Amino acid sequence: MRRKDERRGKEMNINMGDDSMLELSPFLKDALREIGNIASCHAITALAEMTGMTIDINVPTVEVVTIGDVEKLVEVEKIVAGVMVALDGGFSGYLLVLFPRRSALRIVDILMGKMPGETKSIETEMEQSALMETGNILASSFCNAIADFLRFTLMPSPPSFAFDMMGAMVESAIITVVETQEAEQIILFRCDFQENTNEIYGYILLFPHPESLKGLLSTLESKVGVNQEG
Amino acid sequence: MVIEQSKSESESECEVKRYYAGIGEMRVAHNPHQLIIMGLGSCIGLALYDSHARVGGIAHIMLPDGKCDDSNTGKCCKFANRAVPVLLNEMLKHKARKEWIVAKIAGGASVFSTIDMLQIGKKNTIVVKESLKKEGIKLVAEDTGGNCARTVTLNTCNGEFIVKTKEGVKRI
Repeated sequence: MRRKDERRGKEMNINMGDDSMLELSPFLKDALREIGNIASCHAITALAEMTGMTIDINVPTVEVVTIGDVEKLVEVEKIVAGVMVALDGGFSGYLLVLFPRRSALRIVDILMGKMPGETKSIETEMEQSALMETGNILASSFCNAIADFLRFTLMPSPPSFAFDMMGAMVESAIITVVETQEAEQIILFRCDFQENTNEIYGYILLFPHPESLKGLLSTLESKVGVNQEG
Repeated sequence: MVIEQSKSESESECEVKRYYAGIGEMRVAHNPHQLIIMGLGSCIGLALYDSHARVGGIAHIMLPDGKCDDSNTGKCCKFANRAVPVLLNEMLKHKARKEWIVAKIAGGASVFSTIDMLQIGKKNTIVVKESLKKEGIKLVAEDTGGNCARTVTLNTCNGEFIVKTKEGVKRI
């Protein structure tokens, strides 16, 4: 079983070495980062249009992370508003859009036309719905951009909302990605963004299923006509 | 996996250290140190405690079951069906005795309730309980289920298990 996985891994240039370490080739890593970058820009443009804000986006990162270390990369106990969407189609995985508590409250203020600081909690359905819709729009634009660029379909599932610890949300995404393959590592795409006037911060995290990236890679090769070099 | 050794009993005045277990990891420590798992969602925080030897161990369990080739490494403790014997074994190496060990668990929530088709939190809870029963370890307290993320702390000086959620702190 494992051998089969290894072979499949090599074919798609995600190598499962002797110690079952997941390794991305520089080509795939760059490709993922670029696709993620394009998609994040589209997603954040959609948010900017919706809210009328000017949003800066940081250079995204793609990393292969050991599961036990993931919690060192995020502020585990920080309370955030999170929207999770399952992706399926050209490749599969999970997309998380996170806003820290204060930023989430500010977004609700802006969307509902309230005074800054008027929203004090995210307890009622109205606030949750506003944030869920924000996450949904971000996720849908993210998927659309990838689908347009690579000419394949990428369908987001209906969004799921939570207002809780960041670590638990990242953990949920990891579990669903790892569930089928018993891997020690995961691929994590991350893009941070911020708006300076209202001090709104947000994060887009993408956890692709490593197995599903094979299709992405071949689509990419046929599109750009690049012979990958290792 | 790292096994943390405290200083000898005579130096019990020493500073209380906090040891953290990441996803799929376990930690064992002596009195007076604390063992912590942060941000438990559908994962389970399993705590075993020997009140005589004052040795505690925690495991951050991720999935209900899985194959695990080498049972000697701590890697297996990410699976609910393997974690209990692996953690127990590690504690026995640190002067704990099986007949004195009791268990407390927390976690198994469903943070994103509408997307959680697999009900991993519930399955994790069931498998851990079965596993404890099989090993003959008494489950003395639990705080499982719901939609809330939890941070748990095991105090090795008294076996107190502190469960923190966004709503408040519970001691079980």
